[in-house]
Amino acid sequence: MTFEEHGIYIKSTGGQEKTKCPKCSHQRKKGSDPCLSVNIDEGVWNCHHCGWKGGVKTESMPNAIPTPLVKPDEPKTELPESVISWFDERCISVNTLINEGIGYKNRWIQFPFYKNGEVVNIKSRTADKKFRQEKNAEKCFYRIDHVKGMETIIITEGEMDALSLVECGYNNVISCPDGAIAPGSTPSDKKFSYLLSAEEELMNAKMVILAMDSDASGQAMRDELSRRIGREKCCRVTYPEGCKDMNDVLVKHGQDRVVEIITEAHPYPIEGVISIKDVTEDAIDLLLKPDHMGLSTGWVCLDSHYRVSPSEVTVITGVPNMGKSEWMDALMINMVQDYSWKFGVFSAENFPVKHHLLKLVGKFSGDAFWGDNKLTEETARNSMAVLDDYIKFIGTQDENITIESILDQARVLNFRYGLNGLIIDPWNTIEHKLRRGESETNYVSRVLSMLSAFAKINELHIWIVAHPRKMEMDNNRKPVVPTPYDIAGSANWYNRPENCITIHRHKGQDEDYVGVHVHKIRFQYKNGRPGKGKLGYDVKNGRYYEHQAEFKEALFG
Amino acid sequence: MSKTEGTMNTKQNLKKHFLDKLYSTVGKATHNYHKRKMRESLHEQFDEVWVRLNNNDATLSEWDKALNKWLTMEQI
Repeated sequence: MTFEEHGIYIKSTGGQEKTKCPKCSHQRKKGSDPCLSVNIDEGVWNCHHCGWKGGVKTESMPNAIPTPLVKPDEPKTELPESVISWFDERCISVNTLINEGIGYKNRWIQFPFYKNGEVVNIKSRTADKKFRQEKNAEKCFYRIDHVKGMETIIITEGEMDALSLVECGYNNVISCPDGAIAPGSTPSDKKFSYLLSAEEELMNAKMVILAMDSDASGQAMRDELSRRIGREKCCRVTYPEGCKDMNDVLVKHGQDRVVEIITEAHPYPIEGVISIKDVTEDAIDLLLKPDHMGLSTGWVCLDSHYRVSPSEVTVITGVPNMGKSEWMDALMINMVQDYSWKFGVFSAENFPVKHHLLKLVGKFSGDAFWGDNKLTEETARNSMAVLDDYIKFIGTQDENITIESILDQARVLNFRYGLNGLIIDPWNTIEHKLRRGESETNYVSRVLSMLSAFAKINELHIWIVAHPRKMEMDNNRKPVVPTPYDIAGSANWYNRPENCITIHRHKGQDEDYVGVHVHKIRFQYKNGRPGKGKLGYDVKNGRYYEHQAEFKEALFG
Repeated sequence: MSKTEGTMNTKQNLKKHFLDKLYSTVGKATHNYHKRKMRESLHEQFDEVWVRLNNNDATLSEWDKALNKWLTMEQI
């Protein structure tokens, strides 16, 4: 198909042209109004009146036959006094104008584009910022000849910025022929065809400094150029307050400041990469912070082995019926009482919630919630009234709860109440949705990454209770203390989380205590070192307390 | 004598309201470190709310809620 076959009649063989719209012009009062914009190079059109748009196939476009390039004559370099003073106001000297071959013709200042010593294009401008270029001339960078073999290339948005840098002694400067691009637009490759003129130079350069304007168009241009050239070798500049381009800086602050800006050009940030400079202040803050240790669990004997810090994940495992969930609940109550932490709790094994709540109330009040001396109704009500501000139960209504739905609910709770902790107890009651072809190992890895990211973004601590795959017995027919490697699913249970703990009850003729076996602590400087703590357990109220021998040791050494 | 003479609303007489509630609350002695720590923390939170109320940064209901929370904890 050709333009004619669509009823579009154009005169030019390239570029942009406006003509009458075959769909609406004959019906309009202003029938002669050229409301149809046609981009002949790209073979597309758009009517600004009726909205008709379309395109023709590339092979039938008129410029399928390459248009011969036109080489303009060298411009006349005799500049009138008014032009010299115009440049002088912008701090560009006569010497630079002569060296760069700046011309003048009928109110138009002419910037010749030299390539291999020949003028291949001329860009003209008036004092009031009207621009034009030679028709059918070659598109290339302005001053392309000056960057051949250069290790560092500076690219500016316009010719005046390039001349400003030349004025300051930089010769390795080129400028884009068509200026910036509209922010948010997706420019065609044709728009950047001039990049080909410096392909070899840009590929071989070790550093490309992008000195575009500081406005939105300039930034969009800088981003697109850096994307095409390669961000690993692109640097960008920062202008002083009140300056939008290099010529502004030269006029307002002088040559020294221009040199300073180019010298201080900093590498283009690479997505996902953090330099030391970016986090120096945060690290110094952490260093100077008087108390950067994790929070005590409330059991002194555990302080040297396990402390709680926000933005981390702790995996808790243990043989069934050894008190994993009980210890988890006790830890939560300690964190509520000692630090006013707020928790989201998914505890499927404790449904219905009323049972779980009574257990929590027992721990909270320190009174037994069953037996002859159980807590009074008033104490229970008071405890529940206080706990209501600190604990919210998640996922009690759903049958098939997934990790995503738990995180969704936790996200809402965090928004409304500002959660500090999230408990998922236990892992095996969640409905696991593996992707097609995904192994259990990959699934566990993916979910633990998701939880870790959630903890970091929301600055909360996540505890996951997970069962070991099977109980192993020692020679005395006693269960062996499992490690996170024994959790069903994957070694990622050990590798991914920041902290790993096993709760194990040691009961024998000469011992009866709950062992808190801390297997892994990632940030040992603040959260303690792996080891074992001993706790006693009060069956009546469900509270854990320091094991006598351990307690004395922790207090008196 | 006008009907409103001699009467004051809660905001005008916060101290009386506070003392009335405090004296009517029967606190429970405890040796539990965690419970005592939470009581102290809720007491401090209440003090902060009172200061904010004096600076017009908190509402009376916030003040009342913080007071009730602290006194409830004292009874557990």
